[in-house]
Amino acid sequence: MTHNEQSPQERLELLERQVAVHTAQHGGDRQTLQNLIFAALEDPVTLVRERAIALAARYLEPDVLGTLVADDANDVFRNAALDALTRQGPYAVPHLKRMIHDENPEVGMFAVHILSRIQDSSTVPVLLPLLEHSDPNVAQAVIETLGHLRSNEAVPGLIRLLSADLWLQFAAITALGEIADRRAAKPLLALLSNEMLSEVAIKALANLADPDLLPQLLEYLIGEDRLPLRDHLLMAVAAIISKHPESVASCAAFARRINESPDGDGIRAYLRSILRGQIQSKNSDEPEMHPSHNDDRANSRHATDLLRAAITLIVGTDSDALFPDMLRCAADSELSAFLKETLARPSLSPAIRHASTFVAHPEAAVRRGALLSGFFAPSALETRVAECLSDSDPAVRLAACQVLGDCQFDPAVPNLIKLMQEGSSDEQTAAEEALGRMRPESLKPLRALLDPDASHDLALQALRIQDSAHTAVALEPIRRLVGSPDPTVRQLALRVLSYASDDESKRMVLEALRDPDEHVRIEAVELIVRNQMSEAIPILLGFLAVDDGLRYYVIRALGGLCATDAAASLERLFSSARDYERVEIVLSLIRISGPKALPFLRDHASDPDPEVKRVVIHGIAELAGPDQLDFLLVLAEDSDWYTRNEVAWGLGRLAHPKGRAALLELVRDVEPVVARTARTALEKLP
Amino acid sequence: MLECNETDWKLISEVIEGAFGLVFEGGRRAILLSRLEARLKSLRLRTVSDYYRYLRTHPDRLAEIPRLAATITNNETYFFRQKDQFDLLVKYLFPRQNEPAVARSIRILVAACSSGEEAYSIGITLANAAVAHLGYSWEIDGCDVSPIRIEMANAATYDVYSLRDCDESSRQRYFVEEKGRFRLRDPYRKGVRFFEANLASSATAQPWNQYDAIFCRNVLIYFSERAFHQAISLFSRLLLPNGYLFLGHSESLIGRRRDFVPVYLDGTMVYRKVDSA
Repeated sequence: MTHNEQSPQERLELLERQVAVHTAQHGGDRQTLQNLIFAALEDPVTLVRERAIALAARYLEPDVLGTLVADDANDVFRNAALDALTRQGPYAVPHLKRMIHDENPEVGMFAVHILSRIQDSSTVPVLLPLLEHSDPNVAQAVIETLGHLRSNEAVPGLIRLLSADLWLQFAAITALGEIADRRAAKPLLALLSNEMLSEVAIKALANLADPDLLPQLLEYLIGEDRLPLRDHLLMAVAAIISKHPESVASCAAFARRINESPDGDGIRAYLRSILRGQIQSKNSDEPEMHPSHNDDRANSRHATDLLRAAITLIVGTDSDALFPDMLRCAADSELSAFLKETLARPSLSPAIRHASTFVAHPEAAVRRGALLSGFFAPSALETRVAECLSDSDPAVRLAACQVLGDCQFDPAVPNLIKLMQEGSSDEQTAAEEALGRMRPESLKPLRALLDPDASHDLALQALRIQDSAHTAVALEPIRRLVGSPDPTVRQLALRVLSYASDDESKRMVLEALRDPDEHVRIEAVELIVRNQMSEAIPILLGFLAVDDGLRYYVIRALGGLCATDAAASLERLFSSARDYERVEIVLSLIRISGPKALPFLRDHASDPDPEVKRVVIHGIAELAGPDQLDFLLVLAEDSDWYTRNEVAWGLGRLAHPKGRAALLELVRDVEPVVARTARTALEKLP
Repeated sequence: MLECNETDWKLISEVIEGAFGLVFEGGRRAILLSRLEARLKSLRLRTVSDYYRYLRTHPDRLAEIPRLAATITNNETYFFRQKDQFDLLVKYLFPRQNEPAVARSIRILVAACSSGEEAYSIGITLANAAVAHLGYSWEIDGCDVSPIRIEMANAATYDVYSLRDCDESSRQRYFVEEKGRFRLRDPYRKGVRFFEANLASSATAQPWNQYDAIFCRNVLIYFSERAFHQAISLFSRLLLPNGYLFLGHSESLIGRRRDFVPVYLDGTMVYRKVDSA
């Protein structure tokens, strides 16, 4: 089969095999390796080219990749080399710092771009002098890089560039926004009158979120009626209020204009258009869709951001004329959570937080939004909110269930129990969930559902509620249910019983280890761990000798109980245990023995079962001390990415200088996750 | 939302890609994690790495795989979705009235059929086109990785959301309303069968036929490269020479496969298997 007849997957597999033959540790030929990679870089299929780039990062030196960057006759090689150098990260930085000064300014520009992507802060001193490089492409690349690096040292130079040529101005404004240093606030504000630069300047100001600028930005918001500029101003204002809620005190004049002037200076209509997803067309009486609400994913995110910004401003300025529209929007659960957070801010007027009229609003969507966002006073719970359980609108009834549960409003328990029994399927579920969040002491009415003559389904509901609330309301009926002929009931009743701390309940949990149903026995084991019942350890140790389905859980339980007496038994069991048990034995030994488990772990670091090997390596990486460093370094060349990743993490934990060379290799790893772990680890080394 | 570090993400991604061929990169990562949260809660596990170990080593791991499949597969489907392709099927697969009918049934595969809406939609389209009156019969196979979805397809009872592209008269014509759900009338279930199959697995011993057309729409975009080629190779083996492959509008084989060529049918691009003879 010729190369052209091979499928991409076949070419990829062949490449991997050939590279494996020619890597250094196998005594391979460097030139052949390079040729293989170069050929794969030009493969017509993305899958193969992307793998070739990963291999180039791993096996080719930065100076070789640098020559590809300099070759402007071959775009494919150039782009691949750029990606490969980026992947090499800190390994490539010394070479890139030299490349910046290449006699070819284009090469210098590329080097700067790669440093921007690598985000190594050690490059800032090298880049700062190049801010005003004579080649504008290099200067622009430097500006962008310093922005990405959030370099405060660059701020004075960037501010100077605000009066440079247009492209550099754009780049400098964006960089100042990324750095978010307040020294840039006034220079950026001055650019709002510049038609070309105003939009990017507003976005930068949103990042700065300087509260001193709030009054001026609000003036701009009132005066600007063009989209999308007005939207950006709204988001900038909202960003400031979000980060500095106390700054709304400086907006009193603005708030009066919104609320008291006949049309709120146009702001009310603008905010309403966002809340409703509409704008009023100048040419027609019919509202048009606000541009942010077009059916496009990016616009959908933008629409959400705008809605949040509008909500922030409305709440911050107490614009009560817009509350119904705002609450209608908040009938959507994601926005209700956001509104709830916003209302919880202490800097807001108590009048807002305690306005309860909206839970009785004529419109169901507004009532629902008010409930879900908590837009009512605590005193309204008993009257208006609880009444919503019998609202005419089903969605409002469901919202009322949720709110009463969230507020743990005890007096609602009897009505919620009634709804759980008589409501629609959705209402039953909502009522059950709400009851599960109530305070344990309020759930005593559930006892009636546990009586012998209560239905099986109701008993299960009552048990589930107690399980959610982590309480047992009445021990006697629950103990009776632990003896139910139905194993599902026994299992759930046992779980509920385990919330009681009396001796009889504990005895019944231990007794359940002999239940005829395996699920109940497993439940008992897990409850023993949850309640840290160390008195069960001798019994569990006895179960280790029984090769049945329960042993897996027993092994886990012994680890969960940190049963030091179990360590020797678990090690002895290891060689005869089933595969899935061996993984748990290792995990339990790690928990029980800590560093004392290292000899056992080292002995099994080459276990043929890949999952056993992985947990062993994880344990070694977690527990190894400096005296185990050499052993870790050997593992750094393992063929399994997980092993290399754990080694990188372990070397970072040890933070020993001897690990540096291995980490510099691992930052070039073909697996991005390993490279990232190694990079993070390198930063911990002295 | 369920938290997940990069290492655990790669571990669980490898399991899911290996089992189903699916990848969840970029914005789909949050979708996967929110779906997995439900499984973790059900199994009383706390972390993604706990779940990874469950899938790799737990005694009940084999039973968990179909539940995972049902949880993470995107089951966005409804009756008559992208129905223009069904009309092309009628026009180009069934020769004109004056031409002799073929001796056998026309066979169509709906791959990744989910709960069956697409397969049944094709059956309804063929019934409405009165191709049976021209002497033709058809067999429609629907396959999916999730046994739970196959069970739903066999039940052929749907909520109103699956019928959102059906007007009132279509609803009444094709379905019987029962307690707020809609059961497909028996005549429209004729000739449609469902079975489990994993397109991303090489080890599939399924009751395949040789097909005149295969539909696999809006699925391959979620596949890894490996799984993509696995699936297309399977379709290539299952299709008769010059058989048609219908993909979603945003999916393409151009530049990726030599065993299919793009053809335009009434301005819509579909793929035809290259006749190697």
